[in-house]
Amino acid sequence: MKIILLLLISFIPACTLSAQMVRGIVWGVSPKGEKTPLAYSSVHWHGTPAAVVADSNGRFSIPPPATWPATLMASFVGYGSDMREIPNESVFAELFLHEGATLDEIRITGRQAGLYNSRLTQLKTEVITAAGLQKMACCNIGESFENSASISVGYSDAVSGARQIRLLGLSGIYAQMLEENRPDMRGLATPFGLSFTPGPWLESIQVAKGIGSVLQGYENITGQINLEYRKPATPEPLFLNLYLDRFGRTEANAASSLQLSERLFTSLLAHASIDPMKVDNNHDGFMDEPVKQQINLANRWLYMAPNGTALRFGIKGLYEKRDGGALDFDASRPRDTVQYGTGIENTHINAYVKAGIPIADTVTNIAFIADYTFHDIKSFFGLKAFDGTEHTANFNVLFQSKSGRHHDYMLGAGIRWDSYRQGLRDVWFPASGTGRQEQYIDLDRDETVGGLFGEYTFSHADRFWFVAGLRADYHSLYQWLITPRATLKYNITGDLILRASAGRGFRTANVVTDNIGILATGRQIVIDELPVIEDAWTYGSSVAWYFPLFHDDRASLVLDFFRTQFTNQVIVDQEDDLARVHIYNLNGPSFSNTYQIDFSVMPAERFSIMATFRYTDAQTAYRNRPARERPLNDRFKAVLNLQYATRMNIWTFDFTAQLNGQTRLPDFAVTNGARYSPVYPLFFVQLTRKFRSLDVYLGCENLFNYTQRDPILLAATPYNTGFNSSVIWGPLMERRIYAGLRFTLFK
Amino acid sequence: MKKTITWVLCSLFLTAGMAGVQAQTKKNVAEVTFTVNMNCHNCKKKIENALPHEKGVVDLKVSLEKKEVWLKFRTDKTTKASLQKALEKLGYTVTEKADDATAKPAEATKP
Repeated sequence: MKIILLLLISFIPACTLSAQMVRGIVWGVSPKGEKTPLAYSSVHWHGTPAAVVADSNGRFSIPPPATWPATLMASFVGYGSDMREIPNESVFAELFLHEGATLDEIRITGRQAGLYNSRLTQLKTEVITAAGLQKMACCNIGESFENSASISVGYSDAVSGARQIRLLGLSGIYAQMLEENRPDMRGLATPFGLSFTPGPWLESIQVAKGIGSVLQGYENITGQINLEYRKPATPEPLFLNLYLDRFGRTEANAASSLQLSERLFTSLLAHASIDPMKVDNNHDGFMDEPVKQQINLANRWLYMAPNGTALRFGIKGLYEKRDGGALDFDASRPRDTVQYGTGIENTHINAYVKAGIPIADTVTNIAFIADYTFHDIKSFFGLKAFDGTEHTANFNVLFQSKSGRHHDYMLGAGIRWDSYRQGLRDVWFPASGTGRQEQYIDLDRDETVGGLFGEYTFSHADRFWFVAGLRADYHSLYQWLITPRATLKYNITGDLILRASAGRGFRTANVVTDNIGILATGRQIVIDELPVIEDAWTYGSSVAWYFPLFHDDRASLVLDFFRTQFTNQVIVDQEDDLARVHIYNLNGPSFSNTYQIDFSVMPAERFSIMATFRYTDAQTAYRNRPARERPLNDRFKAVLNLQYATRMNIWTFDFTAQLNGQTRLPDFAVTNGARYSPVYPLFFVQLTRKFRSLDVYLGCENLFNYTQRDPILLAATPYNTGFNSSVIWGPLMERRIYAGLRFTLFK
Repeated sequence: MKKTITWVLCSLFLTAGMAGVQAQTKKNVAEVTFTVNMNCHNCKKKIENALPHEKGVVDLKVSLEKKEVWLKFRTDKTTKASLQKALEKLGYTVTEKADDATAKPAEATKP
């Protein structure tokens, strides 16, 4: 009935057309370049405010302008805008709106490539689609990167289960995590942030390498990882996912999108998981992963006002508990040197409001973004204990407009307030035999940062884009921070795309949480000097070539190079002194060069091949020593992914092979002269069967059971200064067989 | 290790090959293209979710741009009419597209 009504409504304007009306259609263009009619966008003549709204098929008719030729403009929430010069009324106008920065757009569905290099973005961007998120178990976003060579995922230590990523050869702390283009999982949430977002909640992940926009602040140094959630306006009233694996991990995810009225939408996301089993496959007496429980809830809202204003707000909350350490650890007993255990409790709350308000001529927008984050961490690693509480509040206002066809600009102002109350109770037993030593390190910090920023985009003929951005922030601890950034994209031909970017980024280190693995050692932690804000420049370029090959008219080959160079970096040094971890500011060079090549082709219908290789050269000058290769940083990673689906995707087979390069072992971990960790392969397979509304999948991670042997140094004596569980270069968990199901209810 | 990779690759290609052979040997297979009044990606998703599990459907392609649904089906198990009904049940207006290439799909659904 609704459909018939809609149809009727959509044809009414067609019937009432007079001969002079200018007719046309508005297309929405997805990041993959797929175009579909875009319903209900706003269309008007440049210079006149009177707008008409396109119908549900994207078609519109508008009274002619006063003079010919005239410029017709179209825009829609979540999309960019478009303008075309129309010579006279006999022309059928076609306008194309590209999915824009606010991204509440219609998405590509059906069978997608799991991971592709986006053609449309200014920066070199890898998009991990919903299909890519379903290739692996993807309990959390850490696992969704197994198909990507850009990102390496590893453990920070052998006891906390904290996963860390590396992007451009540097720790994940230098990549900015964004939740729908809003900074997220920063501060104290950083070490466990990857496990705080359930994969089934997401629609896609975009990994933009290199320096990005100044809009999200100065904190991105190596890139941005943007998480797009399932949208409130998606007509899927219910999505359910259940997962179980051989180690007893049990996980349930639910997502529900509901339309409450014509203009009000909401989504409810829930996750609960438990890792109940104490697993010790390497028989060192320590659990390979902690016993974990997590509960995670989010509620998101979208209100579309009649004047085009889009109001988005939401809240999410999380509680997680991890208990690790020795198998026989009894948490109810007082903590002493007889047993070694770890306990980590995280509580996280985030609330946000975003409002985008179009102004009269529809190419001008004002946006307000406000958010608040609370994070609390309580932890102990043996006798060491670290507790921290963070409050962060953020407010930004943005003004966006364009002048003529070629010039877009954005101006904004923002203020951020960070309050950290954190303290480390460090306990160690010196080798000299002087007995238990104890020290309390106060790491409280308050920061207020206020800034102004602007970004200018010059575009020419849909082929050339140049973006220049600048921000000036006043930081309560470090005074003025000036962040210049620039990106360039040139479509030499439609199939050959050149990109380049350069710019500066800053970041305040949270020395303990950024390096949570140092707590899982027997060493004394020494902060030699007050950490200064980290300051780095990143520049790089990439060339993407799309060409026909076999069955595929869009095979791609992408080459890129990026370099990050630190002006200041907070160094965590375990090699200078065998009894201590030293933390100090960089005094010398520190850089990382990354080269990567990606190739993808679909040689037959429903069969895709993706191959990628990355090489990294990362060096840092440690105190009293010349620059040398950073420890535990993989030199290369190669990934081959094959996917085949039978007709109508009834069965889908996924196979991923990785070859992980050697890493330099820290001097104290060198045994039998082996200064490098071995090169090792990892294999992943997954089989998915599609039924009506239901997908059932079965898979295996680490198919050939490769694990790092003896990941903990001196595991038998955890209170010895030589005890160290932070020397991790390989997998800790054995072959993981898993099964799950996904249920989708369509409206 | 190499052996396993070869094995996985071979089995992938074999499955692909076999699927192809299967389709060619079936003689009682027909094709039909419907014009469907869908206008969003979710409509496409909805059709791709439901139609593969209709009795007798062998293959399916949905083009949102052309507003067309192409189906390959077993004539001994289903008919064009019942496929059309299955699409209509999802809430769409459906018309069979004539074989004549000049047929205008956009006009077909006009009331």
